[in-house]
Formats: sequence, C-alpha cells, structure tokens
Amino acid sequence: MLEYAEILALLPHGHPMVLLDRVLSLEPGVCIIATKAITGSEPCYCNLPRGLATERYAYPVPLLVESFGQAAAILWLETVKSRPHREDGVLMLAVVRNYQVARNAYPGDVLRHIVHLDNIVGDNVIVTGETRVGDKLVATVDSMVAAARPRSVILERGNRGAKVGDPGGPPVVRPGQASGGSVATRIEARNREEMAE
Amino acid sequence: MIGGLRFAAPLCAVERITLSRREAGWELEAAKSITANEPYLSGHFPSFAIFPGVFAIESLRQAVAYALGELEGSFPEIVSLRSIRFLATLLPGDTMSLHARIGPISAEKSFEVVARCVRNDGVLAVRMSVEFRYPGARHA
Repeated sequence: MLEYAEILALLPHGHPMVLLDRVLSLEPGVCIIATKAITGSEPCYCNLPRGLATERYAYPVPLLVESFGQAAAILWLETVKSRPHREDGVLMLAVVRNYQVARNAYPGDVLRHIVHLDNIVGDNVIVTGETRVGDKLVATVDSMVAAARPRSVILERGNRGAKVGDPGGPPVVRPGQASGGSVATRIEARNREEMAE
Repeated sequence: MIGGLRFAAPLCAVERITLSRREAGWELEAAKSITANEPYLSGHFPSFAIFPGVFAIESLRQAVAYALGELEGSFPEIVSLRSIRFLATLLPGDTMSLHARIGPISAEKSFEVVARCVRNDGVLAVRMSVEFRYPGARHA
C-alpha cells in the first residue's frame, strides 16, 4: 500500500492535479488498485452558481480519465524503476480506446481504479481496466496508451511537431510476448489505419 | 466569450464557439488560448506547465454543451470516448482550434462527435471520436 506522501514522491504532478489518494495494492508489471476520494472542495466545483441539480456536480469525465491514468503511471513507474533514464521521463497520455462511462461519480464517492498492464512497447505502456465506486461500475476502458518522454523533448520549441504517441524508436516487444498478435501491435496497426483516413 | 459554467468543470476550456447546421448535424468551431494560470495547471507540472491532454476532451465537452444547449434541464454528457489520439503537446502561449462534426441526434438523444484540435502553428494536437448523450435519456 502507498499513502499520499509516497504517491506525491512518485508522480511528477503537483497539487491540485494529483488525482490519487492511496494505492491499495500494487503488483509491478501486472496490476494496481488505487483510490481517489472526490470532494466538493475540489477546484472543479468552484464558482458554480447555487441551486444546480445533482447531476451538474457529476465529476468531470476528463478528470476520471486523468485519475485513472495516474494510477496507470504509478504502475508503470514501479514496473520500470530498475531501468535507466526514468528520472527525466514524463508519462504522457497518447491514446484512449473505448472508454465507456457507466454512471456518474459525485462528491462523497471514493473512486477505485483497477488497472491491468497489457504491455510495454519501447517507451509506451498499454493498460486496460475499470473504475468503481463501491461495487458499482463507473467506467471501463479497453485500452489506454501512455508514452514516456524526456522533459527536454516535450518542451523544446524546435521539436513542436514531435508526436507524443509515436514510439521513440523501433517498437520493442518484451521477450516471451507474441509480437504478431499482441495488443500493442494491433493498436499500432489500428492507429496507422486511423492516421491514413 | 463563454459565460459562467453551470456544471462541474476543471477549467473554462473553450472560447469563441460558432455552430453551423450541416445536413443532419452540425459543424462546430471553437478556440482556447492556453495560459499558465488555469486552476489545475500549477500541478501539471510544478516545474513546467503542459496543458493536460484530458483538458482537450474537456474543451470538446464544454463546446458541445454550450453549442447544443440544455434539453429538459440537462446538458449533453460524454458517455463514451471511442478513440482519442494525443499527437502533440499544448503549452502556455499556444492557441488551440477545435473543429468538430456533430450528430445527428438519435431517438435516444445520443450523438457522435468527431473532432480535431489544431495548434496555432498548424500541428494536429488531438483527434477525438466521442459519444455524447442527454442524461435524461440515459438507460438505467
């Protein structure tokens, strides 16, 4: 289990963009379960007029995705921590595929993200998973791809056309994982088709 | 400029929306100037600001909500992110142009939106295919 202080030490994010509170379980290379408590004092609820209906306080879907993505980032960081060049790396969201919202989450709810690691291809990590409040499903995602990029590459003005989602080099498939039918290969093939539209 | 928000949102994610009728649906154009003093941006990241990719999804959410407006007291909400591709970063000082094709709206009050976010230097930053629905018609 990781407490908030340890989450802060791991993620490059700072307040109020740290959208995780606790890691309940973590198996590097496999799975993470992490929670985030939604409260009405968060910035997304400021400046709203009085008298709005309950559903206007639904936690914004983009923040649900970000919170899930931060759980995935911790899973990735703990999976690759023995590898070189992680210090300078920032994990950027590259692809979201079929994220389905099942119900709204509200202030008072505790989100529980269950994230499974599908694959690591070069500097890209591919995860799948779901978010629940209690036993109720909030969202599921077929696949989310994040790409680790050095800060220098992200910020360099001369490199503004660099595509975050592109692998930094030739795709590397870990030993023991099928290359032809892997999720990553399928996703990359789909992405190429999409780009060619 | 867009007025005060009437639903929870991490930032005012869109400015200057125009909506045109196109056959069965609509075409939407919107813009957002990226600044470093947005509510959540001080934490993304503390030592260097990058517009979070998910905030581009928020821009689309707000643009669609304001352009199509309320129906039976509800704004349209995201029910499915079918496909999102983040292709380039947006930094403070950049301007993002949002181009979206919306609709048509089905009998279940849901509709698909296909959108692109283009940075002011012409680089495609985000591609999105998103399903929205008016919550009143949401299945239990």
